Formats: sequence, structure tokens, C-alpha cells
Amino acid sequence: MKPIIKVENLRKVYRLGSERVVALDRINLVIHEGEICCILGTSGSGKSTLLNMLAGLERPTAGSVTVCGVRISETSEKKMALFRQKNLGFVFQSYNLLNSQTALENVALPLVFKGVGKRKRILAAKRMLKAVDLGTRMRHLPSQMSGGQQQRVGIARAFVAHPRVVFADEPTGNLDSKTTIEVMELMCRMAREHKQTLVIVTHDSEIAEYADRVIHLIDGNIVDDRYTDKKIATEEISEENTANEYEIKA
Amino acid sequence: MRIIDIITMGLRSLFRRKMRTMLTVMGVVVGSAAIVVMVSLVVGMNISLDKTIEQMGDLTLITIQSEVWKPNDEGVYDVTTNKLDDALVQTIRDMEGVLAVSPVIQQWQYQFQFTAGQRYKYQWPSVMGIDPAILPYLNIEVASGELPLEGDKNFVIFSSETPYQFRDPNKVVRNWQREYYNADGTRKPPKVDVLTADLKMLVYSYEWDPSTGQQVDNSRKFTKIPLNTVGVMSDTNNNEYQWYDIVSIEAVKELIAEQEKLNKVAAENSILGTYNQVIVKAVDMAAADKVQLALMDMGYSIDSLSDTRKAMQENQASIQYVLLGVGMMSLFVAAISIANTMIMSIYERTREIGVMKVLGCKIANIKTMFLFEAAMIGFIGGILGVGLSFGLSYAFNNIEGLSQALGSDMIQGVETQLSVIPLWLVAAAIAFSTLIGLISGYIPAMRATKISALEAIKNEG
Ligand SMILES: Nc1ncnc2c1ncn2[C@@H]1O[C@H](COP(=O)(O)OP(=O)(O)O)[C@@H](O)[C@H]1O
Ligand SMILES: [Mg+2]
Repeated sequence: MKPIIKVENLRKVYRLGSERVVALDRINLVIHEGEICCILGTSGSGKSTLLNMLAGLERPTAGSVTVCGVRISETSEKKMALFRQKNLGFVFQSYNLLNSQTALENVALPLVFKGVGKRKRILAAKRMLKAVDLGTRMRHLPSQMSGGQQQRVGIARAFVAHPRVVFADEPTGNLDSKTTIEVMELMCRMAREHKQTLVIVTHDSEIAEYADRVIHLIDGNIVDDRYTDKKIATEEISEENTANEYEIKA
Repeated sequence: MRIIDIITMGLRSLFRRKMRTMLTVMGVVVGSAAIVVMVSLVVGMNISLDKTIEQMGDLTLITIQSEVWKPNDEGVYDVTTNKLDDALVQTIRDMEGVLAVSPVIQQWQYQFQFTAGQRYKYQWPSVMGIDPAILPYLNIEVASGELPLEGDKNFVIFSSETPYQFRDPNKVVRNWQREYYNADGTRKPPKVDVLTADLKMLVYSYEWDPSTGQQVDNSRKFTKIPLNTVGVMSDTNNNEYQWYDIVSIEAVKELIAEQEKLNKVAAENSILGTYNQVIVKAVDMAAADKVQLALMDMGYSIDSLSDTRKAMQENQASIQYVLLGVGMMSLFVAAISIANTMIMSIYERTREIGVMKVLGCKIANIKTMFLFEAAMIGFIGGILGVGLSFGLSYAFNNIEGLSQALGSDMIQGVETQLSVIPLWLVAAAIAFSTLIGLISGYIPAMRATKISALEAIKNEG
């Protein structure tokens, strides 16, 4: 399989006054295209820091990150905007929907930034909302939806522009256990349908069970990196399911 | 990101915070209205000033007098003499921007006289000799007859009163009232129809007959210049030439020369060769100013309308600066208020901006969005401000006490408007308010672009 994310000797040290916090010690990691990958660890172990680094939101102290063939650890912020438009999707713990915009508008947002015309992006956003089973809530504002529904809007938004990699930082952190299952299944299904790479950060080992691969982080170091047997089973399902439910040409 | 989407998003976020947007817009409304009203007062002042000066005469017309009375340094009026001769006329004629020049003779040394046929005479005219080339620019309206063309020597333009002045000197008039007025007090028509009569101009002269002790009119011996082109000024003609009978300067010179020769006037005492006035018509005010400056450089003293206008404008300038200062100050306050609003808005939307960045929104788009919002506040404020100023302007012009208190009646006899809002001011005010919005939104917008995308990832809130 093709590697899509490559991390070499990644190190991140925060300075707080005279104190130094080593968030990531020395990370070496390769993630392949289409993998559903879970970064597991306790609070403060450096998971979010690693994810931010992978997504190019933060610059490493040392080492390099390459995503889709681009060394994002050395890319300017200006170019990163275009790179994100094209290649990356995000799911946030606290959903981060724009409160003044409807579900439909929120989902269409990445396409707005990409410069997709109104008719096209509304069509795409509608398909995505139907795919996350929110076809009846398109005109609702975030405040009019439950946490689980908001997160499904968030997932629709992350996938709408067909990114190659989707990052999710504690996507179920604010959800109850029943909704957590719904959201995780939805996210994994979407990623598998189009062979998109999904990187999930969580402290919950139950979540890790949805992933093909679990990377265990303790104090800024990878202590365990394992493929689950689940991978083989789910891959077969996705092979059959090739109908493009929400394909757009943006 | 498409421009239409940037605009839509900007408008939405303005609309979302209606109250705050409204308050900020109000600031701009007050600021721009202050500026517009102040400028409109200045414009109104200048218009009344120009009207006043227009009443005084044409600013592109320069009259150089042979004698100019001006106050000296001690404030005492002093006379300066200008030598007005043919050389000067030629010099001026060669200047750039000069349409026409005419020397003028108005003199009282010789008594001119008009005759109509054998019988009727007008014995005491105020004759003014000019070059007919200047006539089209003197704003002389004729009620009857015609104006001469360039080069005409045999013309006369009578003042509206002159036709009534032709009388038969041999007729003894017992009752003036009955002779010249009807019973109902209206005036009888002139004795002579000057347009059809056989008109001539001559210099009246007499000899003293020692045997009788009487003066004898001997003017029949002299040249009589026939006047074939005749016009009569309308009695509404309202300019400095309305009391003169205007004739050709060539004709006047010819008659004077004859008299001087007869009286053996020495060349150095001749009044010919110098003029009482030179009238210059320039193509526009700028050219008129240039001609005046050139003449002043040559040592001529000129009492020009343009100078009067400048002095009056300078008097008003200080008031105008104060007015503009007040306007600028209120707009400056409005600018601070826009900047404040935008910064508040950015603090509030920190997370939103972070999310947008993570979702791939370009920095330039974020900047444009915020600049647009700020410019929009300025734009809307500008439009409403102009609307408000029209209201205020109307009040200034129509509330009696107010316009008096603010001094609109300081120029007498001229119908003035205290506050005038020209179209350019409307456009300029809206453009300026928008620009103020843009400028005050710039720093906040730059700040918005610096917000880290990490803001969106942070999990608090
Ligand atoms: N911006 C920061 N400044 C200073 N220290 C930070 C910052 N972000 C994270 N850290 C520190 O780095 C370590 C890892 O944090 P983080 O990656 O957020 O952990 P996790 O997501 O696994 O809970 C923690 O000790 C945290 O305090
Ligand atoms: Mg975290």
C-alpha cells in the first residue's frame, strides 16, 4: 500500500517560561493510504500535538512531516490553505459548526472556500447530509440539533470535498456511548467507501476497536503500533460498496 | 473563494450583530453628516460669494483705469496713475488668453453733441468711445436697433434715456410737464425716432461775439460724423455702461483731433494717445488672473474683482477651516468606533476564524471578508449620513432664525442658501466614509489573519 503520511524524527518541545515541556519526543511513523488509524493515549500524552503536526497546524521543533508527498512541516501558511482545501478534512471534538449557519451551509463551507459555485456545492452538501442521515435537518441551525446530530454535520463537512486524509481529534469526546457508536460507525464507513485515510485521536480504548491500526502514545513516544484483525473484514465490505453516493467533481 | 461568497458572508455577520452594527453605523452617520453639512456650509458660502461678485461684474473682464484710488499703508486713499496708450493695448492684445481689448475714451474737455435731422439735438451726452470688438463681452442689451460689428466707425448705442433727450433748442417750452408727460403722468414718446432719424455726432463749440456779448454756435463748421448703426439699450440693462452713449473710439479721436488742431494744442498737451480705460476680455478666470499679474508686473495698478473675491474668500477661509475641523473630528471618532467594533468582532469570532482556516479558507479571503465588513459599515453610514445631511441642510436653509443666527444674510441683496450639497459632495462623502471604514478595518483585518488555526482545535468552550 502507498504511504500517505510520513513522519521522521518528529519532536515538539513547548517552552513555558523557563520550563520545557516535551510534548512529542521522537516520533517515526508511516500511515498508508486508506488506513483507519487510531492514536490512543491518556490525557497529556501528546496525541493532539501529534495530530496538529500531521495536519500542519503546528510546526515541529525538529523532524519532518510529509503528507501526500508535500513536506508540510516546511510549507508556508499561504500554501497550506490550498493544501487543506484539496487534501485534508477535519472532525472536531466540539463540532465547531458556525452557529449562524444552517446544517446545509456548514457542510458546504469547505466548498465555499474552494470556490465551488453555489448550485454545485448545495447539491453536494445535500447528498452528504442525506448520507449522514440528516436529510430532514438541512435548514436547522446547530443550536437546534443534538450533539450527535451536530457531529454528523461535522462529519459530512469533513468529507464533502473528498479529502484524501481526514483528521478527527476526540470526535466522540462530547457524546454519550450510544451516539459514540453511531458517529464512529458513520465516520469509518465514509472513509472506507472512498478509501480515504482517517486518523482518529482518542483516549478511549473502545473507540480504538473501530480502527485498522492502533498507535499507542505515552509521554510523547509511540510505545505500541498494531494492526487489528478488523481490517480484513471491513475491507471486503467496502470493495462491494463502490457506488458513489456523494461523488462531486469540485 | 468567490467574491459573491465573501460579500454574502460579510453581510451575514454584520446582520447577525444588528445592534452593534447599527450603533457603529450610527457613529459613521453622525461623522459623515457632520462633514457633509460643514462642507455644504462652505460650498453655500462660496456660492453666495460668487453670486455677490457676479453681481459686481464679469470676472473675465478686466478694466484698467488711468487713475486708481487705493488705500495706502496708512489707510489713506491715494491715487495711482496708469499710462494707458496704444503700446499697452497692443501688448495686452498679444498676451495669451486675451479675447479682445479695447481702449476707452470718456472725457469732458470737449462737449459732444448728437443731432437728429436739422431740428433736434441732444446737447449733453456722456460719450464713451470704444472699439466695437469688445462690445459682445460687455453684456449690453439693446431694446431696439442693432449692435455694430467689428470695424464699424459710424455706430452709436444710446442709453435707454437718451432718445427722450432730443429736443428742439429753438422751441420755447412753457410747460415742461405738458410738453413731455401725458395727463395721466405717463411719459410721452420721444420727439425723435432715433432708429430712422438722420443722426450725426459732432463737437459743440461756440465763439464769443463781442458786439452782441452773446455766444455763437459755430459747430456747423466742423466735421459731423454720421451714425448709421443705432441701438438703444434696454432700461433693464444693469451694468456700469448703462448711463453712457457708446460710440466708436475712432470717431471720437477724429473729432478731438480736429478741435486740437484748431486750437493749436501742442503735441505734449494733447489728450489723444492716452486713454481713460482699457477693457480686456480674457477667455477664462485663470487667463484673467494671468493678464492681471502680468500687468501688475509691468507696474500697472489694477483694482480687480478677482482681488476682491480673493480677499472675501480669505475672510471666509478661517471660518471654513473651523467647520471642516469639526467635521473631520467627528469622522475620526467614527473611525475609532469602527476599529473598535471590528476588533470586538474578531475577539468574538476567534474560534470561527480558526475553523475557517482549518477548513482551508485562504488568509487573503479572511482579510478581504473583514475589510469588506468594515468598508460596508462605512458605506452604509455614509449613505445614511448623506441622507441626514440633506435633512439638516433643508432645516438650515428654511428655518428663519437658524439661518440668520448662522449668518446667511451676511451678504446683502443676494439670494443665498446657507447650505448647499452638490452631487460631488454626495459621492465624495460616501466614498470617503467607505475609505474610512477600510482604513479603520485594516489593522483588525490583519489581526484576524494572524489568528492561529489551532484556536479551532482547542477543546474548551
Ligand atoms: N500550546 C502549548 N503550550 C505549552 N504546552 C502545551 C501546549 N500544547 C500542549 N502542551 C503540553 O504538551 C503535552 C501534550 O499535550 P496534548 O498533545 O494536548 O495531549 P493530549 O491531546 O494527549 O491530551 C501536555 O503536557 C500539554 O500540557
Ligand atoms: Mg487532546
